Amino acid sequence: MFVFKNAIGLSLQCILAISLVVVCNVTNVFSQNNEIPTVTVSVSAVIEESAPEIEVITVQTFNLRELEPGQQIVDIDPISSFRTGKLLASGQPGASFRISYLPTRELVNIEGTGMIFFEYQVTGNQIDEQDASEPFDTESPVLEFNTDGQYYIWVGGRVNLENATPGTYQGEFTLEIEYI
Amino acid sequence: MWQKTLLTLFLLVAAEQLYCQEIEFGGYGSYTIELNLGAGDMEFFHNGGPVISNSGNGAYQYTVDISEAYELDIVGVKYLDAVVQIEGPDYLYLDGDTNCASDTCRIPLTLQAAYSNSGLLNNSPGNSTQIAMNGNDATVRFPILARQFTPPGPPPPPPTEAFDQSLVEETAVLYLYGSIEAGNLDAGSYFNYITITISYE
Repeated sequence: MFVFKNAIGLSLQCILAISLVVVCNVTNVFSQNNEIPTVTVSVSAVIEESAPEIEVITVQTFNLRELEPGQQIVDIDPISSFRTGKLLASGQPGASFRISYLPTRELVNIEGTGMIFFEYQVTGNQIDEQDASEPFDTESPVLEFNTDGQYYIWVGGRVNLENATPGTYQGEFTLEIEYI
Repeated sequence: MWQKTLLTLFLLVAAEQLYCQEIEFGGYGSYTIELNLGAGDMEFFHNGGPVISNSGNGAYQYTVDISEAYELDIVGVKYLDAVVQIEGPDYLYLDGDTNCASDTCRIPLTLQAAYSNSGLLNNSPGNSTQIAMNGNDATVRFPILARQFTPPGPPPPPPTEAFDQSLVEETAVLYLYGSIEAGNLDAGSYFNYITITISYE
């Protein structure tokens, strides 16, 4: 009887052992690695500092004083006239930008009736030399700030005084500058 | 009683030995798995050029979308599972200097990953499975070739000398993508490294 039970026990053990060995074998086959490849991937970005906002200040306003009596048309050559308005734009040194502006504007007499009609002409230069400034149309070519981040703009044009009456006139010159 | 105790001990000992059993049965196998890098780096751009600090969408975010993700090819036995470990950095550092502790010289990185295991001709970002990330790290297991709505088949026989792996190879693709936050940063080149480890399971 003892022999019989012992024989059964060993048989069960053998069966169990064989079963578990097979399971272990299968697991080992799947986890087999001859090599474990490892690679590194470079992740990168190049950062440029954001450009400062462009600022435009008026250096010199239009000068329509000392006109000839009865003069109704005043031509202000932006390259040579002392009557021009002068603006200074400041931005990122060396950065490219473009200028656009409205070509005409009516100035109204804030004290009564009458108006002055402007047709603008604009020139610009990286250096503060009006007579070497370059004219551009209502949308400029690609321009660049100088190494100090500055660009000079002269505003002239034709001023029509036919409908003007004595008084004080006020209006604005609309200029847009944006980085490219 | 003594006989029962003896039998029980036999079984316990046998079970413990079997649990710890590590037979080098597969040591005779020669399965290989390859991880092939894509071209270049995983790079963040702004309109194809440098990223501008204090800019970008939302919280100064720039993204590498999955459609433009960095790709790595995983070449292995198609009926085996691969385990891919991804260890991604939290930041990209100016000139790679990991000693930087200031937000002006490091860029927070949000890494994402996905895999496509539909077969060489069908792998694509649109046919991929996103990998759940733990921060910028992840571990994922998937078959080199997806089992189409069927349970895993029986284990393959161990390879013999006549085994030609090229006959049962397939390619899966791992996609890396994500976003960075380009806040108030010093100008320059920022980089770091993602480590990818792959093995059979």
